[in-house]
Amino acid sequence: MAKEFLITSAARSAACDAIVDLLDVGTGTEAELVIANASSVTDLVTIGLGATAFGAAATGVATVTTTPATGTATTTGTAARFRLVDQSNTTVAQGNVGTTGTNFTMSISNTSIANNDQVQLTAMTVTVPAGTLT
Amino acid sequence: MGQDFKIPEPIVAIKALVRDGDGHPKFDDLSKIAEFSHLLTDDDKTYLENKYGKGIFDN
Repeated sequence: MAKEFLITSAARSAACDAIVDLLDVGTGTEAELVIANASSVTDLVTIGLGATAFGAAATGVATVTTTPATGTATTTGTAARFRLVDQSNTTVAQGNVGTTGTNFTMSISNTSIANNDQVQLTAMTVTVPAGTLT
Repeated sequence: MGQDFKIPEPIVAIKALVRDGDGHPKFDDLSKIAEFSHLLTDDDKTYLENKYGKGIFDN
């Protein structure tokens, strides 16, 4: 028999809000999505997420407040990593970027980003799953 | 005593469309065009058809 554990919808939303609300703190004006190269050493483009990055979660899903949000690339490189940073530029979460397959958290139309390219954030959600109980 | 359980991991999903300096959409995997098609303007679609062929939006 598999282990079973089920989180209520209210608890899922509370957990989700606890994560995304960390983006809305700091000394600056807005959280940012930063796209970087494979080593995360070179930031290629930064996209502002607004003063309140995500709306209140519902059934464990929080959705970014403003889409599309656009950033202009400041250098040329291959996108491979992303960071979600708060208003003080402190990293809250990070992940990988790619174009094909299902192994990437961030799906981008082209990983080859040139200086002055425009990168439009078109969708972003954070989901806390329910788990299972049979 | 029961077994430990694992809280399900959060799932993050992000999509982004890249446009070149002239404002044209950039794709390095043509199969991704369908995923972003709802964001493409008529001018974008004309540009992509001229670049990749008229059938690019057939599927």
